[in-house]
Amino acid sequence: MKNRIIFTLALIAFSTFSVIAQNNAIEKYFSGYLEDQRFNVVYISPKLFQMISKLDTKVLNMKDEAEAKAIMDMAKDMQGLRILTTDTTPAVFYKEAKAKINSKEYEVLMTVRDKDGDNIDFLIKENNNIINELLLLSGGKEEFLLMSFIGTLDLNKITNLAKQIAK
Amino acid sequence: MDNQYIKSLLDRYFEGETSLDEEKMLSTFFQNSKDLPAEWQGFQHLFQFFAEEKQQTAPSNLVLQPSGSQLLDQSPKSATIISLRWARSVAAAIAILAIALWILHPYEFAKPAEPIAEVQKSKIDWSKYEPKTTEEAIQITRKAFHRVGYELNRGTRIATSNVEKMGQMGKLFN
Repeated sequence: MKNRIIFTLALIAFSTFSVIAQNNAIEKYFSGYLEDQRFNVVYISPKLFQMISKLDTKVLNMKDEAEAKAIMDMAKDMQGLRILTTDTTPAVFYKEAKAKINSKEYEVLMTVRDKDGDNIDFLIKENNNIINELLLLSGGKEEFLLMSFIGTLDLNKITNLAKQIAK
Repeated sequence: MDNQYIKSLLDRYFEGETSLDEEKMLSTFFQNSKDLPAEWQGFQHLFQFFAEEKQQTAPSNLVLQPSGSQLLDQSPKSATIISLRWARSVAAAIAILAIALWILHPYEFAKPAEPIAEVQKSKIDWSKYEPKTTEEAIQITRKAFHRVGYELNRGTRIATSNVEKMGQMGKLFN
């Protein structure tokens, strides 16, 4: 009985470790594709984000000052960006991603399907009402894209950015 | 009482299937009979022993409640058992609480050194996927944010136009 309790506790502790270790969706579900030649992988580290957020908006070389500011504002909170893209059989990978991503962990923020067969999904992982991860999953005829933003994300900042871009 | 019947009773006795009356019968048989077959002599001793033990009664002045001195003698032992049991359940409760807290607030626990810790925790060496120059990193980040904003706008636009359509349909039915 005592042994069983210890075993259960150890199991819980271990599973918590492994959950923390894979705190982004790409590593959790698509680590097998990172070395795959069909895929493009980009990673922006927290350090790079720190550098970006300290830069002058002029360095971004953008015409729209407000948009640059919105981007800097978001970069401040970021702790990692991972992008996984491919143009081979995008629809297949999109389906795979939809099936793999745990719907209990990731809440759907928005799903869009337009006539051309382009699918967009915004998924968020929340913890105490703070968004820790934002996933943009896109699968159309030409491209499969999975972006994972890690950090303490503020939906207001994201919508502000969207507003600036829409101008 | 023939031996055949006793034998069947004995078999059932050891199977635990005899009734109380039958057991009493067996007991009196073994205590009273003199010349038994050799293989049953052992049983005779057994039933005699049972009968003797049954006659023992508790002394009439036996007090089940321990007296003061007896209580003192026994208390250290019982106290250790209780305290151990308590310690164990308290320890288990604390452990479960700590783990529950840890699960519920993993980020609070990990917060102090998060940027560095995030890199260390992952098994995959992500650094090789980093852009070579800061310039490139900025452009990629910009594009990524841009894409998020663009898709959000598109999604909202489609959603609002659908809602409007629904509203129009609603008017038709009213």
